[in-house]
Amino acid sequence: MKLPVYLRQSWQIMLKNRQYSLLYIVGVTLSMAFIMAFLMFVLMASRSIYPERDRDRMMLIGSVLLCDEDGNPKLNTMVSSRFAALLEGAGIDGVENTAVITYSGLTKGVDLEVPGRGIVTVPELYVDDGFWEVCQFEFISGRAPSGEWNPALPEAVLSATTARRCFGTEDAAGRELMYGGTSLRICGVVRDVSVMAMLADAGIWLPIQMGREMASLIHNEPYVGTDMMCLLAGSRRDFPAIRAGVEEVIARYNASFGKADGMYISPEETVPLTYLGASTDAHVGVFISAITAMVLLLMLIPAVNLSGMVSSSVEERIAEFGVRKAYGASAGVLVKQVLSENFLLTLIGGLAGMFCAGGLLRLLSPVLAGSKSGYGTGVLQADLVFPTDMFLRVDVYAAVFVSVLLLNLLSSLIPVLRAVRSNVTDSLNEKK
Amino acid sequence: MIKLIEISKIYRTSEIETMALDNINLEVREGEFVSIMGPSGCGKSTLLNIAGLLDEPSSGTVELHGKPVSGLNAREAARFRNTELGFVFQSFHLIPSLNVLDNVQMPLLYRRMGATERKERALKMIEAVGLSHRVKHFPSQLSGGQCQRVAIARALVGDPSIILADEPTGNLDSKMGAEVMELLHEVNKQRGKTILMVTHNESQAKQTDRIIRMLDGRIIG
Ligand SMILES: Nc1ncnc2c1ncn2[C@@H]1O[C@H](COP(=O)(O)OP(=O)(O)O)[C@@H](O)[C@H]1O
Ligand SMILES: [Mg+2]
Repeated sequence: MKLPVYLRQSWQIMLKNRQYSLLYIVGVTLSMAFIMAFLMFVLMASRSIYPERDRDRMMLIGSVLLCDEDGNPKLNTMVSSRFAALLEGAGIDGVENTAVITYSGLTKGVDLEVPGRGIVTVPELYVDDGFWEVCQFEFISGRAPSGEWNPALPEAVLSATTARRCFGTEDAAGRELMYGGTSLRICGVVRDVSVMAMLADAGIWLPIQMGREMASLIHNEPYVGTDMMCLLAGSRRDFPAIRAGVEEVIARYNASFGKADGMYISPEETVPLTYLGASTDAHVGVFISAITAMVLLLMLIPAVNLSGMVSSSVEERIAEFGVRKAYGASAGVLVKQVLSENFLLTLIGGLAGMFCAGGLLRLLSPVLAGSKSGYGTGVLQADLVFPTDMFLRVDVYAAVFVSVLLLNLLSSLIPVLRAVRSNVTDSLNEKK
Repeated sequence: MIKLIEISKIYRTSEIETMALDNINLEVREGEFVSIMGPSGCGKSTLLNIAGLLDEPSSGTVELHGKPVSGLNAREAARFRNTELGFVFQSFHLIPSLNVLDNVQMPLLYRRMGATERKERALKMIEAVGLSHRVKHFPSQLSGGQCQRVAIARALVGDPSIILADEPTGNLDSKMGAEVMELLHEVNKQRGKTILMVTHNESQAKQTDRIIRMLDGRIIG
């Protein structure tokens, strides 16, 4: 018996048992969608992703805790530009590079005026030169900003999607557009950044000097700021030394202001450093691994349920296998038949699962994006593109598909093997 | 055609041993229609299963077409069943997820044969049992009598020489039972198939060439 015969029969059996097939397919779809969405979330949140390739060496200072003289917490705020400058200039041992990112924090993206196209609104980030070293962008066109600040014609980088929206092409390096009455020169276009990026997601990256101007109008320096800072360590072993270095900078910073306005960056709580990379701190790593394992187990429940359903359906067909054997079917043929039936159903469910996982991720992405640290994200996510290459993680998808397939094949294999091993009369007499 | 020589069958469970067949000797000639009668549990089905290579005797020899078949391995026995034997069961044993056509073709799937020929042969058999208008129906949409006729078409489709029928009318009312009996007689007369049939119905048994009566695993006449 050849493969087309198996598949044709499987197809017929599927159509005949509509309710079962539908349940089966929905089961596979949901299992795969949930497992995949979750896995991707874990991968995105804990592993290095484009363009944050060195997450395991990154230390993020997203917010600082301000306290009064007695150490009572007063305010949680992002890093002030003065503090950022002090940190940057401190030359802390082990720090290979620093990036400062500032959020204007008040707008819902920026309005870009494109000659001939009108207004295009995109989420923005103001970044310093170090940012382009710490993050590893892929340039589709042009290059990173030169680092020379030219107030008359600042340089900006666009995401591929933004470039298409503004100019109808990704090859937009050298073009100009207007922002707030100033001309901008597009020096480069980069591949779209996922919303799962911690630091780097935007549609346009503007020079930090422009952000400073805006922030100075709004914020109350020196304590309150809108910066986020990333310290790139040479290796993770440098983390403790870097932390100690940061403490020193804080002490100096506090000393430089005296008690005049009664606000301090808390010397005890200090700066909450957000460590990226699950296992940076041993206990944090264990905690995250444990949660991951638990959630993954929960996610497996639909898959296990499904395998129970598969198993009992094969169980119910033992008499059928008996008749087939009476009429000359060999054990191998029966096993192949059952496997091909399950393969077909899992395949259909798996394909549907891929699309559902995509939808699920899209649905969840604002929540995931909102869970990132930093103040500006609530504003930023508003208009963000959701790059499709994120769902097309072929490796993740293939791994999940293969495990669900194996689970299903195994749960059909055990009863079918039992059926084909027992003698024909026993199978025939099996109660349906 | 069918020859059982000193066949015994003992079922062993952890507690008890059941002597289902006790030194059976039986010969059925080619083209003969033989019925087996006897009280429930006397070993009729066991005998039929052993003659049909569905079960193995504890001792003794089975000869079909003059050749001993007791020594065949599982694969050879499956081949032999596929080409030489047809089965009809009390509970029909149709495959519920397949339509009439696919149920009837099923035995042909397990031999080398093209799809077109399979379908042609199946349709011819379905016509022979008078169900051409039910080809696309599923077993659940048929009456018991119709189901058994489908089962008979399935038994015949591979053109076997021997049909083994275990209480083929046991689940049917008398009218449908009579129709099925009529069909089996036709299969025996027109197609020349050898039939060994278990029945509880004295008048049906009387219409066959010979009646074998069993009691407690032995043939008593
Ligand atoms: N698989 C089995 N295991 C144990 N005992 C069996 C098995 N099959 C049949 N028997 C026993 O063998 C005897 C003959 O059974 P069977 O051939 O089915 O009788 P009949 O068909 O005449 O009613 C009965 O006592 C039955 O309980
Ligand atoms: Mg019986």
